[in-house]
Amino acid sequence: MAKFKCVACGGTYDDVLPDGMAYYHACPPEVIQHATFDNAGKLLTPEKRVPLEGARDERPTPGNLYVDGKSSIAVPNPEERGKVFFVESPPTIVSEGKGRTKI
Amino acid sequence: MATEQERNRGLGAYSTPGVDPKADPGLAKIITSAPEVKFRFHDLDPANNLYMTRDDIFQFDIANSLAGQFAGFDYRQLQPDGSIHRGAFGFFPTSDRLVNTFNFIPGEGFMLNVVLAAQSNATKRGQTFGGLRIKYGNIASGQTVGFLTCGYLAGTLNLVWPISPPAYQTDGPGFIRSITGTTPAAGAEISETVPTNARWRLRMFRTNLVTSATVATRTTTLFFDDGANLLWQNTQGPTQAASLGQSLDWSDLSIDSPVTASNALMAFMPQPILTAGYRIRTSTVNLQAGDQYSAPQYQVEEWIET
Repeated sequence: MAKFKCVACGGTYDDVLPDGMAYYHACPPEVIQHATFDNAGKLLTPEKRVPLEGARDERPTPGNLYVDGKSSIAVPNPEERGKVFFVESPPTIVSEGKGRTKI
Repeated sequence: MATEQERNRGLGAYSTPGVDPKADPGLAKIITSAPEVKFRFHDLDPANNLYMTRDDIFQFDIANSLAGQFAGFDYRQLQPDGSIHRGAFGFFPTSDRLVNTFNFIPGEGFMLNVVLAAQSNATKRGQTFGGLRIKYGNIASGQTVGFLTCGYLAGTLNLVWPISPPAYQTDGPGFIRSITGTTPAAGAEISETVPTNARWRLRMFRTNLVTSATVATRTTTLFFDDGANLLWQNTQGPTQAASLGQSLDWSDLSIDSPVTASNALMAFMPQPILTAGYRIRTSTVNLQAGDQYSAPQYQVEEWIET
């Protein structure tokens, strides 16, 4: 169990929760450019929400699987429609993004 | 007065004087009828008709979310020579809910029974799902020719063929989890995503918002999306001024009202079902750069869904 900070969104999280199950961080899709006000409380610039760059998503890539203990992906068999064969492939996550740091 | 001879004329010293002992009755005569059914003890038929050839492959799939899970596989097979062979082995499936497939060739014979069990007594229903099938041909691309059963494994609940009826992954109750989410950066919203191959039913969701000294009226809304499209959004919660801390609680209760000045209770739709990739997010009007949400704490009912 370790605590991490996401470089892209700044969120902090534990990779394993107290119940022993893994937690997969995924960045929010947007970042807020907050509104600014003058000393009198008058709005100077309105709030703006823009897509977050380098978003990280630690969820395992859907479709990955393990065959006899080896990380694999299912590839359509070009010679037999509807059938697949399994190709060894390293496990991947949905998006590495800007990475994370251990804290 | 009876003589000694007369007194002991019976079968023993305490026999009744004067009573002649009966003659030996001999063995009891059987008066019941013989059974009409006769059973064979040789050349018996197998107990079931699942016959495995030398080319048949036994495949079992497990999708698991519990760290450190260990699955055990046992089987009994009636071999061609009439002997019963027992095989057993175990393996560690990954805990990322991805399908773990294991293949082996048991050899020729009739399968008598198969058991797939979760060895961790801490396993709860909804954490580990297994399936048993038969393939023919190449292990990497073989054709499924038979399906035995599938269902959840738990500490005391094994998957047994030929007894366990097939169960779909989202049948029955799931596993109740309490999750601590990501603490967002200052000035950022909350966003929680349903993991790969999971299905959630959200039961309650809680966070705390501490507002900065910047004068503004914040209002928090909770909403669900499918990863791209908004699906549902609750009514706006109570307003929150600067320099305040307020707990925000949502559940599928039908009330929507603040309880105290520092705790707001709000409702979301009844028993929302969220599948892999769906998100639970906040949207806060006038959120300021120095405002800080705490890590959300929420309870879900979870199933494996591959």
